Amino acid sequence: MRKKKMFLLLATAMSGVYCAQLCPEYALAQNPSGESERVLIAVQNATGINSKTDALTLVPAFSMQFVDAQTDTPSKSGTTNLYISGWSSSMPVSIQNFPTEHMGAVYSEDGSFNLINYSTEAVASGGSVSGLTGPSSAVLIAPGFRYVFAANQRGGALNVIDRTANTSVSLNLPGVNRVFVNAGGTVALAFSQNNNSVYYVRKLSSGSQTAYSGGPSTWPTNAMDCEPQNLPTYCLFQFAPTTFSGGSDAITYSNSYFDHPFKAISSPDGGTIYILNPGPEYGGTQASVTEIPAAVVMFQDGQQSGTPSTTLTKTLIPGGASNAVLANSSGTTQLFVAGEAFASNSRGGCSLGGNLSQVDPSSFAVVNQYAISDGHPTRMLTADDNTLWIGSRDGCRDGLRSNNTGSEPNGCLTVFNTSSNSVALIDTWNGDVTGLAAITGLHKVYYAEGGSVWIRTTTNPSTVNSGASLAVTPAGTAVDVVYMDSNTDSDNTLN
Amino acid sequence: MNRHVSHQTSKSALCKNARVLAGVALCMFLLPCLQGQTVPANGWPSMRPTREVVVLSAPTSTGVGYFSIFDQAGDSLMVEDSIGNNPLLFTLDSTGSYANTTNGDSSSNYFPVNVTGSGVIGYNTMVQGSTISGIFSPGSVEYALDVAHSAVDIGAASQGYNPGEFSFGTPVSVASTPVSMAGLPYGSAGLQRYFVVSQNISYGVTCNNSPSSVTTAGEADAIEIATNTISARIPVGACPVFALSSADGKRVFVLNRGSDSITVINAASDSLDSCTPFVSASGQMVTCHPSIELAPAAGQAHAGPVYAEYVASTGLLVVANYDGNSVSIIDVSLDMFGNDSPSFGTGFTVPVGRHPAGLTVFPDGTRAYVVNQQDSSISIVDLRSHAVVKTFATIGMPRSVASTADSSTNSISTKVYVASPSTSNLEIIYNSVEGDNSTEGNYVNGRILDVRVSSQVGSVTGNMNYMSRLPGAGQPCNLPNFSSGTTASIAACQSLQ
Repeated sequence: MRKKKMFLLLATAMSGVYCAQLCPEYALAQNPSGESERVLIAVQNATGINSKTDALTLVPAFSMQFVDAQTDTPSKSGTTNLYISGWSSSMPVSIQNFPTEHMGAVYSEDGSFNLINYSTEAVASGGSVSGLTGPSSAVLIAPGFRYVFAANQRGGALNVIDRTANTSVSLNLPGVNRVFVNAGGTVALAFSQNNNSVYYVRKLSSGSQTAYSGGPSTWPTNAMDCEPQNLPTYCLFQFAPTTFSGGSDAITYSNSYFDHPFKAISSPDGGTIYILNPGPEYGGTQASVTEIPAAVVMFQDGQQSGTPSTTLTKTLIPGGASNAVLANSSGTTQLFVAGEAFASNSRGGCSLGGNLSQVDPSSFAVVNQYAISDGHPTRMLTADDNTLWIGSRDGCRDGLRSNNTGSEPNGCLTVFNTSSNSVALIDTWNGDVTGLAAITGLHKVYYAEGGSVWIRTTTNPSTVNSGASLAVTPAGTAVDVVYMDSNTDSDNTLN
Repeated sequence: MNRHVSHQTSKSALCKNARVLAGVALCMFLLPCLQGQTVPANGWPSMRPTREVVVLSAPTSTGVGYFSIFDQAGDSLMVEDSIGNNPLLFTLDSTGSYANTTNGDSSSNYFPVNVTGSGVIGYNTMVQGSTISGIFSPGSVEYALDVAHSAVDIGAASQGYNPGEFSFGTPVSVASTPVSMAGLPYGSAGLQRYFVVSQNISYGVTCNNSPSSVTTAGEADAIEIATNTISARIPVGACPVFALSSADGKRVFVLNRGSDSITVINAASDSLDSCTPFVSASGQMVTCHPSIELAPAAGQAHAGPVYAEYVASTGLLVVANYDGNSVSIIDVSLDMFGNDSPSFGTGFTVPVGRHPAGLTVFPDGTRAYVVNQQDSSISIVDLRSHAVVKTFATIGMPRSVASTADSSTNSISTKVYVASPSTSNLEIIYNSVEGDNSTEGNYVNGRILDVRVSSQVGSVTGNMNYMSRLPGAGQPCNLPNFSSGTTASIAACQSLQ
C-alpha cells in the first residue's frame, strides 16, 4: 500500500516535470504569479506596487497588450501588481540574470545585493548578501552563487565575498570601478578609474596562504594586496610580466597594452579574455582590444598556468571599445565591439559618436565599422532573428548625430542585423536605454528606455507599438529588465 | 546683541498662507503637478522623487527680498514669501529643512523649506556690528563668517526659539576676511573640526578684480567642534574663495583663485596633506599632495578656480575655473586605508564657455552642468571622456546651478535649475527624458540670487548646500561688468544692478 502511494507520487512528480517542459500552461502553476514567460523589471520611485516606493515587478511576456497578436495573447492584460516578495531594498539599478538556474541578482543604490529565486518569485533564502563595505560601482556574483565581487569605488576597495564560507575581504584597489567574472566563474578581474592596468583576484591555496602570511614583503611583486594579511585567503594581482618589479614600474608595462580598461569578454572557447580599452571615451588615448590568456588569471590557486608574456596581442578599435558581445554572423562567430570615438561633426566641431566594430576573432582584424547610437553603450545582447541590440545612455542626444546639421535619429537604441551586417534601427529619442531583455523564442525584446519599458519585435524592430510603454510601465521609473524564463544565461547584459 | 523679531511675521504668514492655498488650489486644478504624471507616449516616468527647489530673489538692491519654493516633481510654485531687505546669499541646512539668509542690512532670516509653507519665518540674532560674508549651516550649530571682526560667529538654536532659528555669538577669531568653511554635516561620525578659510587680506574685491596680483597666502583655521577653539592655522594659496570637503570628511579642498591651485588638507591629521612618501599597509608606495596646481586651458594665463563639487561615487573633484574658461576634473580618490591613491591629483582641463561661475555634478559621476556667466550659456561636460558634449544658450548671466540628482535618484530623472541674477526666470533643464536642451522657466519675484535643491547634502553628493555662495571677495559677482572692464566694488558685486 505504501509502495503504491509512493509510486503514484513519483509518477505525478515526474509527469509534472515532463509536462512543464512541454506545455507552458502547466508551468503556470509552478510560479506564484501563474505566468510561464516572465519579465522582471527593476522600478525606482514607484507607487502602488506592493505599497512601496521601489519594487521588482513582474510582467508576463505572453500577456502584454501588444500589437503582435500572434504571440501576445492577453491572458492577464493590465497585470502590473506582480512583484518579488520579500524584497525591501531601495532604488534597484541592475539585475544579473541566471534564468537557467532560476535565479537573479539585484543590486540597489542603497548598497544592498539580493538573490532572487525565480521559482518562488521571492528573495532567495539567505539571498541577502552581506559583506559589501559600501556602495558598489559594479557588483557581480559568479555562477554557482558562491562568490561575489564588488567594486567599492568610494572606499577604494574590491570586496570579495564567499557566501558559502560566510566570509568577506576587502582588497585595496583605489578607484576600482568595474569587475568581470567569466561564464564559468573561473576568472575574476577588476578595473580601476584613471588606471591602465588589469587586476585579477586569486583565492589562495593553503600553501600560498602560509607563504604570504608575513606581510607585503612575502607577496609576489605584482600583488596589490592580500587579505587578511596575517593569513591571506585572497590576493589581488596586477596582470604584469614576470619582469615586473612592483611600485610605479607597473605602469610601464600596462601603458603599452591597456588604456583605461573597462570591461572584458571571454573568447568563444573561453581560453582568452578580451580586455576592452575604451580609450578616449573614458579618458584614455586609443581604443583597443587586448587579449590575455585566461589560464594565467584563474581564480582558484593551483588552477593557473603560465605567466603573462612580455608582449600581448592588441588590436586597435578606432570606433571605440567599451562593450562587446559575441554573435553569429554568416555562420561564423564574430566579436561585435561597441564604443564611442571623437569625430568631426558637420558644424565644424568635435563630438563623440557611437560605433559598432565587427572583429573577426580568428584574425583579430576589424572587418567593418558601423555608426550606431551615440552615448555610452552600456547594454548589449543578441536576440532572435539575427539581431543584436545595443542600449546607450548619457550622451545619446549630445553626440555626433545631434551635433550634425541634419536631422539624424538620436535615440539610445540601436538594432543591428548580424545576418545582413547592417543597422536595422537607430531609435528616435526617448531617453537613456538602461536595460535590455531578449525574449528568446518569442521574437521580442523588452527594454527600459527613459524610465519606461518598451517592446519591439525582432522580426520588425523598426516598429514599436505606440501603447507598449503604457502597457508595461508600472507607476515609476523602470531602469532594468530581464527575461526570467530565458533558456540561456547569456540573456544577460551584465558580466 | 539684539534679537530682532520680524514685524513682518504675521503679515508674512498671511501672505504665505494665501500663496500656499493658491498654489494648492492651482495644483488641484492642474493635477498631476503634485502626484505622478500620466505617462505620455514618449516614455516620461510617471513618478519622480519629491524635492524642494528653493530660490532667493530680490526685485531691487535695497528693497525686500523673497524666497520661493517649487515642488520639483511638477515645478509648481508652492510657497513664496518676503524676507529682509537686500538679501545677499543663503544656505540650506544639512537636512534641507531650513534656510538661512544674510541680508544687506546686516540681518539674517530663517525660513522653513517645505511645499506646505508650514513653519515660522523670522530673523536670526546676529552679533552686533558684524558683516557677514557667508553662512555655514551644517546642522544644529551654524557659523557666520564675520569679516568685520575677523571671526566666526557661532550660532546656537536655543530653547524657546523657533525651528531653524539661531542666535549667533561666541566669536572665534580667525584670519582676516573669512570667506568659506568646509566639513561634514554636524554630528557626522568621526567629525572633529571644521575648517574656516580666510583670505588674510582686507575684505574687498581684490580677489575679484586682480586675483593673480595677490601674493599673501590665505589661511585655513581648524575650529574644534567640541571646544570652539582653533587647533591649527594652515597656510593655503592666495585668494582662497571656496572650500569643500570630500564626502567621507577625510580631505578638505581649498580653491585658491589667486594662485591657480587647490590646497589639500588632511582633516584627520589637522594639517596639509603632506608626507614623506611611504609604503602603505598593502605594500604600495604612497605620495601625499598638499597642493594641486591647476593647468590653465590652452591660450589662458590662469585657471582662477571659484567653485567645485566633489563626486563621491568616483572620487572626482570638478572645478569651475572662472578666469581660465575651463573646468578641471581631478582624481582625488583614496585607497582603502585613507591614503592618497596613485592617481590622486591626476587632472584634466576641459575648455568651456567664458567665465564659468558655477557647476553641478551628478552623483553618479556621469556629467557636470557648467554655467558660463559671460557667455550666457551652459556647457555639459562628460566626466568620463572629459569633453564638452553640448553647449547651449541660457537666460541672463548665470551664476549658480543645482540639480535634483542625489542618492535616491539618478541621471534618468534629474532636473537642473539655473539661476541668473539678471533675470527672474528660473531655468529648468530636463536632463534625460526630454533632452538636455529642453528648457523652460518659472518666474519668481525679482532677480534670482541663488538656487538650491533640498536633497543635496554634502555627505552624499559633495554639493555644499550648507555653505553659501558669496558674491564678491573672489567669488563671481552677481552682475560683473564684463564689457566695460570696470573694476567692481563689494557693493557693486553684491547688488542687483
